[in-house]
Parts: sequence; structure tokens; C-alpha cells
Amino acid sequence: MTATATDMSGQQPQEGSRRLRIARRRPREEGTHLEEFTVEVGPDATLLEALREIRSHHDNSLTLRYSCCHSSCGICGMRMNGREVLACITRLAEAGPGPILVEPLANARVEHDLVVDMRELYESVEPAHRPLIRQDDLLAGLGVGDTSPPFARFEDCIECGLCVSACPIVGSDSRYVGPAALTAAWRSVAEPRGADPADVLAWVDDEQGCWRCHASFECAEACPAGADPAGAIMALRGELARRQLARIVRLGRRER
Amino acid sequence: MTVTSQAPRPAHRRTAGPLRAVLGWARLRGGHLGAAAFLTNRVTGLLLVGYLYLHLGVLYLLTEGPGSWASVLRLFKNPYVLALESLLILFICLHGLNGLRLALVETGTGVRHQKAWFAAVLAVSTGLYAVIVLAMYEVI
Repeated sequence: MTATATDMSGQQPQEGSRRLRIARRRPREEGTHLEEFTVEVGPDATLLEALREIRSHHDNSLTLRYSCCHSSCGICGMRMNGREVLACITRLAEAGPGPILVEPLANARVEHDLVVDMRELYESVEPAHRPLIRQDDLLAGLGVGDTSPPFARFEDCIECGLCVSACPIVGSDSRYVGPAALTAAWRSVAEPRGADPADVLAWVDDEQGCWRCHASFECAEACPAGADPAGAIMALRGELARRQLARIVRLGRRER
Repeated sequence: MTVTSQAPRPAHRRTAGPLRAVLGWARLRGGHLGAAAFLTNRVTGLLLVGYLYLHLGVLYLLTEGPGSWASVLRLFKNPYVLALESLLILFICLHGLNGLRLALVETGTGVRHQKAWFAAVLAVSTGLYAVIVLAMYEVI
């Protein structure tokens, strides 16, 4: 692959090449501008491959974040033509013909170009008591799960923040805790491991907690790991409603 | 670890201004059925609230005497106004039936089938609307 910079009026790219319009933003500077690059790509090239090509051969100041390149680490989240994607597993062909707009995730502070501040995502997940790893059920069944440290595998959620970027309610109300934190909360409630999930339920039982969601299901559509944040939020609501109903029934019996 | 009973506000998130508050939920990013349902509910809800005020305004005309009321009735019999009013039926069907869908889905019932629920809402609303419009224009 080769990359060339063109002006925004842009000549027609050759066959096999794609034009990427990338949102650029320098640290401590206000405002974002678009820069266009043309890259020669194969039919199966991913967005990350194209961005690395630009960084390697044309503009090494282009800032992006990536690591595993197979959708496990969740740090290459960005928007391609307005939709949240993991750059490492998203083929440019999915964008359709024409120039491809590449932007950082929404609803987060942009650090530099395509890199956003992920601290608020990690902080929002923290009160859910969510274990980042869990014991592998398969290995535990083989009798090797009690070794230390335990055999572990990552949870479904890879904490990429795509759901937070896609959520229209986070986009309109910064007080909402967001789908990632609520998904983590549901993990703690659904799999408490002997702990009482009451405090986690009390945390999400708030107008800015699970009740703030307006069920657009954009988070579930955006999630690259199939963690189904919207389903988790609805499950939390169902659990809270059942507990409230049970409380009312208990009070009614006591009155008799 | 300490957990508060209040949902904490993430420390670095920007405060939403009024413009961001409106543009945030109006941003159509995916065009999925769930997002379409979300937008449909908001738009029809706003239209129904608007109609409520219009309705109250029209009722106010009752206090202006029989002549005023008769002119309003003539206006409502205009086929174009009738067509607009028939849309009200569609909005009520969409908003009401989608409300039932949300009542089910939001308590964890059939969440994975939420798109199918909305497709059913669209189908039933369109069917009801068609029957009511045909009845309004005395076709059936």
C-alpha cells in the first residue's frame, strides 16, 4: 500500500485506492479539521491497515491507538462514516464507495486526532464491582481452576467505548452513567459470586442510571463483542421491577 | 470499595448544553429499526403534545359563540384538513403501540425480539390507519 495526501477537492483516485478524510485535532487546540489521504489498498484491507499505512508513509503525526489487531483489546474504536467500529476488524469495503470519513469516538474528550480520553469510561465501570476477568468454567471443571492466579478469560465486554459513543442519551445528557457501566452492573447482578448485588442495584436504580435509557438500541448495534448493553439495561430494569413488586407483596402480607 | 446510591457523574465528561441535548438524541447514526423506533416515538410524542395544545385552542373557540364554532367545523370538513387529521390517528397508533412494545422490552421481556416487535407495531399501525382513513372518506 502507498499513501498520498490530496487536497479536499481531490482528484479521482485510481482503481484499488481509497480516499480517507480524517478528523485531525491537535492537543490543547480547539476545533477539528479534515485532512484527506489516498491509500492504495487491497480488497480486504481494514481501516486500521489503511491508517497505519498513512502513518508509516505519509504523515507520522497521525495519532491513533491500537494493540492486538484482532478485536480483543478494544482500544482502536473510532467512527467510520459516522458509525462506531473497531478499526482492526472493519474492512474499508464496508464503507461503500466514495471517500471515507474517519472520526474519533463521540461523547468523549478528544486527546489527539483519533485518540479519545478513556478514563471516564473506566471510571464509570468501576462502581459496578465488575471483575475484569473471571475463572474459566471449562478449566475449573477439569480441576485446575484453583491454582493461583486463576485461569481466566476476558468477559464479553472489551471496554472499547463504542456503546457510549453510539448512545444518543449520553450524547444529550452528560449525567447519564452510560451503557458500558450498566452492562458491567448487570454482570455483577447476574453473576454475583456470593456477593450481595443490592448496592450495585441501588447504584443503577437512579434517574441517571438504568432508567435514563430510552431504548434506541444503538449500543447493542455498535457493540463489537456481542455483550448486548441494551439487553443488560433492560434486564436491570426487569430485576429492579421484580424486586419492587416483591417488596410490595411482602408489605401487603405484613399488613394482613 | 465504596458504592454510593446515587449514579455518579463521570469526572471528565462534558456538560451537555441545550443544543447538545437536542442534537444528541436527534443524531441518526445507524438507521437501525431500534433507532427508528426511538426517533418515531420522540417525533410522534412531540406532535401529539402539539396537537393537544391545538385541540385546547379549538375548544376555546366554543366560548366565542356558535358562529365561530360553525366556521371551525367547516374547516375540519375540508378534505385536506381531514387528511392532516387522519395523520393524527397514525401518530396515536404508532406512539401507543410502540409504548406497549417499550413496556414489554424495558422490563426485560422479549428484548432480543425488539426489532420484530417494532415491525409488528409498524404493520398494525399502518393497517389500522388504512382502515380508519377509508372509513373517514366513507369508502368502507
